[in-house]
Amino acid sequence: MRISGLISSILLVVSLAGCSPLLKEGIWLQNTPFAAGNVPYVYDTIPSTRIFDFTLVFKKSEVTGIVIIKTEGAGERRIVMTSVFGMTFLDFELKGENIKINYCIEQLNRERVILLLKKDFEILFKPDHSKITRYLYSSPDRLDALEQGNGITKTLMKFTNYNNKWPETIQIEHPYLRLSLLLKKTEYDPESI
Amino acid sequence: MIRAALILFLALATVSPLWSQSDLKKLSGSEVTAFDSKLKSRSQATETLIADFRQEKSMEMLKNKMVSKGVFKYKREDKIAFLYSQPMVYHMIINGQKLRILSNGKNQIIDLKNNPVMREVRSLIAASFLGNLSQVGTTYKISYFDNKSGVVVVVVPQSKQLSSVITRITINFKGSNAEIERLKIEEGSGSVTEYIFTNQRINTDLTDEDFRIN
Repeated sequence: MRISGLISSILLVVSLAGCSPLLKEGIWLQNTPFAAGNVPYVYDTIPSTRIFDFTLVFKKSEVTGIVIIKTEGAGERRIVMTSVFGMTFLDFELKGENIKINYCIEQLNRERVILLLKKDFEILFKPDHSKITRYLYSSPDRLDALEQGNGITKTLMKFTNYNNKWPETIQIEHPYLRLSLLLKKTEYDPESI
Repeated sequence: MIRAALILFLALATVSPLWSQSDLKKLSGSEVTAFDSKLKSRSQATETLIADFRQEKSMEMLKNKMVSKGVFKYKREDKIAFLYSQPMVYHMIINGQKLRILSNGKNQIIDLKNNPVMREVRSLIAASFLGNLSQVGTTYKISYFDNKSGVVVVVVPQSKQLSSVITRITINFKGSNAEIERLKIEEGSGSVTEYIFTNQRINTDLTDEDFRIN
């Protein structure tokens, strides 16, 4: 009896925790038309090349560099992460649900790491790709944050500093993994490259 | 007519790197010894060096090169700093076995023992400035060429671990005084990063404080 009571309590706590929004500001919209596929995009689908400075933090370690994202067509993108000094860490292409690794340094070449990055960029490029995602809006056409999943790979994304429809700062967090990736508009002039 | 001239220009622009490559003449054993001795005497006279640098990264996916600029500092025998000022402020300072990175106002200190690639880049840059390229060991295949304006040293890593990251390093030395003009790093990813050093000043007032890690 005591055991079943304990299990019920745990289940209640887990289910409540699963429903409660983690962000304090704004309103979480659930089961709205947005969640059915009309979520505003946070990344341009037009063929272009955009560059961000990135900061990847895992526990207490930090790596900084530049990420270049080339949009080549519908659902096709090439993503390259390099250091400021010039060394390339990772170069991969996303096409639909497929990923092609062009280059990866040995230290980063772990299936779990690559698949996590793949998922992060898939969510970024198509925020409505999963029905288990919850969204935070400040207005119907502007996404401020999203949250996907409750497990170890739970993903939280925040979109700020909007300029001309698109956010210039993107924070991707995996709180249970203590892993985060910050993308910020770079000082490099995208027109010049 | 203009179109024909443009096509000719494009054809020459495409062919010229191959042409200049074949223009390289391999140095004989005695020429290598003479160059090594010139490099050594320059390095013995160089306690510190400060130069402007321009970094150009070429990638297949980009139409143009990504360019950044800054100041390069060297103090014998194991202190190197790349202080980027454009397009962003980013400092990379190597002092002995420690690497300090200053980015977005935050400091990060890395032990080079755990970073074999940066450790090798540090060793090669230091060896170039110290004038002991010939003594970097059997981990590299080193070839010396004459390109009329100076000496070109091509360094190919032999270890599997390093060659998967860096396939080749080319260092261009000025003929007159063995001053390093260019350092080109070709990566396993296919990207190429070139560092061009200008306005070089030797034995200026650089102190250990310029390479402080902590």
